Amino acid sequence: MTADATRVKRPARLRQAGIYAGLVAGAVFAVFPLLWGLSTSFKPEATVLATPVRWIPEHFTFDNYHAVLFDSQIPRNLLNSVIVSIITVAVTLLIAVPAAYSAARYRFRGKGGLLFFILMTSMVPGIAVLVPLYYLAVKLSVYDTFFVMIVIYAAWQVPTIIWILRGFFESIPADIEEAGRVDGTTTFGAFVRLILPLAKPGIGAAAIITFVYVWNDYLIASTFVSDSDLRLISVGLYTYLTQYGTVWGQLTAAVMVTLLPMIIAFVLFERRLVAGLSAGASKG
Amino acid sequence: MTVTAPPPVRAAPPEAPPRPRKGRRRYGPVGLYVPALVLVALVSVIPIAWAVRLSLYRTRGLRTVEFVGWDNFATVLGPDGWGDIARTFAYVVISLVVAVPLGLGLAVLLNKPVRYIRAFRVVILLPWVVSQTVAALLWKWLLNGQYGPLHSLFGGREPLADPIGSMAALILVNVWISYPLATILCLAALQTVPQETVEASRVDGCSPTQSFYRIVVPTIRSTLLILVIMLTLLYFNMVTLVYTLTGGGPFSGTQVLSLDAFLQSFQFFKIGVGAAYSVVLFALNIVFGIAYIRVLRGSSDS
Amino acid sequence: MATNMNRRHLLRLGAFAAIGVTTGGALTACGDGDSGGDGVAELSMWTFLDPAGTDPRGKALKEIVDGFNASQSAAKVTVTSMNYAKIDGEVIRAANTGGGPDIVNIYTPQLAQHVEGGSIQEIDEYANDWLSEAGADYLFPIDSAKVDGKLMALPWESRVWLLWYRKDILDKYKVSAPTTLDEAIAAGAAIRKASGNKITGFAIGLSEQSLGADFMEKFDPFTAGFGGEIIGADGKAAFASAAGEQAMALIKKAADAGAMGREVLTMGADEVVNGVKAGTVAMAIEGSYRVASARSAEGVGDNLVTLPVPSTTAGKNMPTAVAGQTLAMGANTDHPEQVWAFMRYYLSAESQAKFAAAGVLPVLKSVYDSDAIAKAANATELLQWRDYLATDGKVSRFPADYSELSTNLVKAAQNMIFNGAAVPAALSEVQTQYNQKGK
Repeated sequence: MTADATRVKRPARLRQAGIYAGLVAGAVFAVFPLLWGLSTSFKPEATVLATPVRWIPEHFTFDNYHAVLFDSQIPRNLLNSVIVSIITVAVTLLIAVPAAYSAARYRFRGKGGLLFFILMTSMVPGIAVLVPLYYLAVKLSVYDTFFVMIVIYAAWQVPTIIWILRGFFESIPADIEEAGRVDGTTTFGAFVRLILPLAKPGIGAAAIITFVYVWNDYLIASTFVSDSDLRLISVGLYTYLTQYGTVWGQLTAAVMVTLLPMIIAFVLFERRLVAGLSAGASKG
Repeated sequence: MTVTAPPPVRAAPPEAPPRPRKGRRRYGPVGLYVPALVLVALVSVIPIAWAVRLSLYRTRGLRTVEFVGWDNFATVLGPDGWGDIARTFAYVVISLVVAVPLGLGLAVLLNKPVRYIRAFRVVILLPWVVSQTVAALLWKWLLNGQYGPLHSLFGGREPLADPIGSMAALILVNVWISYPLATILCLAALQTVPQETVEASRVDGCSPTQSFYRIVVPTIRSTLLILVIMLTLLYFNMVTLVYTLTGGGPFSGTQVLSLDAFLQSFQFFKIGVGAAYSVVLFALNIVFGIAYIRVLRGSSDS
Repeated sequence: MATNMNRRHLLRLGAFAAIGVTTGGALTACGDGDSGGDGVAELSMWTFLDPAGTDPRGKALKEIVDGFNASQSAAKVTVTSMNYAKIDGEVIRAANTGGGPDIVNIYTPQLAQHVEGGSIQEIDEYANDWLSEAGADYLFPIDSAKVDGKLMALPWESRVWLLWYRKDILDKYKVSAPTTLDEAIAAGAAIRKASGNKITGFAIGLSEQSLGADFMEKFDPFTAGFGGEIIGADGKAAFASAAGEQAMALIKKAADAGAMGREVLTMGADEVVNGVKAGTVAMAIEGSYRVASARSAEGVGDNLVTLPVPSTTAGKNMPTAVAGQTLAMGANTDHPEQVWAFMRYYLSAESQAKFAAAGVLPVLKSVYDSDAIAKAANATELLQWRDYLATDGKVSRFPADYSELSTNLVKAAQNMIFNGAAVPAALSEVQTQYNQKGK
């Protein structure tokens, strides 16, 4: 035991260094291609492909950002994406949370089959159901609306989100609700006041996963909307992939601009994660 | 195993009393699934049925012309088809083997209380929000051996010009855009691991590695299960990245089923054949899903 | 069939739709040319050009549309811009559900696909008089816009494929401008060798991306140059011929001689042009419509020289593929007369001059004599392109399943050029497969 105690100190520092090494390596892998994009976004279009390669632009310019922010639909696309993503997250959680809670807490015959059936619906390749969905949307006159995109996104995300949340609900000890019920709270009340706070990391992860899914999707966004005022950002970026070649400067500037809302979303999520941590600590 | 939820029946006495009564209450738990079921029935089930039907027809434009039975599947499972299926497996399995440990490892690191951890958490997630098209274009540029920013590293060779290099690059970029999903899910799941249990195991003489495998991994097992399922679905159905990065080449070295399905449906406008590829993909997804659930979830689910 | 299915489920889906009305916001019909109350026909136009961006062609489009809307009161055109690679699928899908644009921009090789998909209608009755009136002034080989003998669209832009070379690179390696393709290959090989394989001497993109277009844009005219064709008059593939073999052998020679290496396996037209901009491609055969963009790169400018593609004998040119953007009439339009009025306006000398000023090669001969062309920095070059189009422009057949054929062909080409597959056998395999499948 005493030998252990002395042994712990040195490795602790070494482990600290190891942790940082791992984190830095991960961060470099993550941002390396983005740094090239950042560098390109500050270059005049004429020099983006110039050799020898320069990571620091020789002629520094904001023209690309100016074009993206003031001469394009990108800000509009961004706003649309934020709106659609947030509503989709809300709808998805509203539908998935009750089902996931039921899956975690109640047993009934055929539950495994039902859960697998739900999961199975998310297994069909998107491209396979695009055409029939398109027909449906047109026949129901919901083509060219945010509504149709939100419904499809939610339907494609609900199954996996149910499965994710079910795991998180299961990890919360059941005696917590029992304790609540002893105090005379209803099942619903116990769920809202006791379980939800503890499930915050899971719900946060589910929310951010859905948000990013909508943010990245091109298939639905490009198929169910043709009105340029309703376009989402993933479609908006295609403006810079033209028949005459890729407009690198403006494309990379637009990508950098689109990263901003996501950084904000990640910071918000990260806070939830910490909240979950402290709540989790108090449960012991 | 010590920490996973106890069998749920005991968890909620009022809803599941020892002798279940008939009536409203028994339907309560099922009722909670209804909104989800309605939604997926509308948006997924009906179109899936349509796609399955379509795979049995010869089509012209977007119209069905004649019933051809299994003919479309003969194309999919024909001589070229097996090569594509083998490549699809290699692509999916290698990507999983790289992305899951990488994502989990980074999540463990990001869960440590060290300085600047919040900045690291944000930075390491960034590739996730780069669209597949942009990721493919940026990486293709980075991997260009002539005018790419790293061309001097390649010594005049083109990483994307041979089938193996092309597949390796595809997997690399695929991992790059998808490991953050693994990281974020694992990071969230790690919050549910009770510190006391981990500490107790350390006191009992477990090394950090041992307690990780004995305590942490079992606790987040159900998250790992859905994570592996999600990534498998993502990889099997990946289109845009493959199309933009390699287009399936060279020498068909990165020709995978999802790309076939896309090309047939949206470039060649043979939506019958495209649907057949999709149905095969769907079947593979289900097989993998069931296998994972059997292996990872064990018998706790019935 | 889909309609039936939908009708059956309509009732069940009613609630779904009702929620749609309240949550979804604006419910707009998609491009259904509905007449406004004041009798103005609302026409929707889908095109790859972006009137809102910084591209000069997009700006020219905007001027023309604004001009048309101001010139008369019967119709009003609104433009929706779509990505060039996605627009065809969108139009076909929309048309199959009873919607779609009134006016659609289509690239000639895709026309047959639209006819097959039922997204456009023939315009013979509108365009024939206009065409005969224009006579020889209309330069574009109009047969390229016909499918099964019916005129399906009106080309408004010409493209020819030219030999590009970077004069500065040729000078640096002391190589003179080629007068035959064999010279080009020899010069390319010398450059690639002298540069330590860093510069591709003569690039023909062999990537599967973009459906192998960069390869087909060479294989097709080369085959024609040797007296053959890709698709015969009967609609069957005919490239497994002596001419096709010679064309393929010529491309293979470029690789064997060392004018291009395996790097071309990663190249489509975009990458070839990027290489020209970056100075890593010395020579290539690329489209006239990409010249301006390539010249805009730093250090390129006048160093990029274009010539009609030489053949294997000096003093004689290879035929050039001719392609171009067209306007077609949507299958479901309610206002064909107004659509035609717009097409005519779009093809007028004034509109053509506006596009010419933005760097588009016009289809009207007279426009080449106009100020817009005379003022251009490369006025002589433009006239040279026009003459090449007029004398050596060839009409290609692009059947509805051309995308599949070109994808299969470029894959076969990769094997023939870099894996030693026998040329005649590989060509006949693709040809046989195609001819069996289609029927």
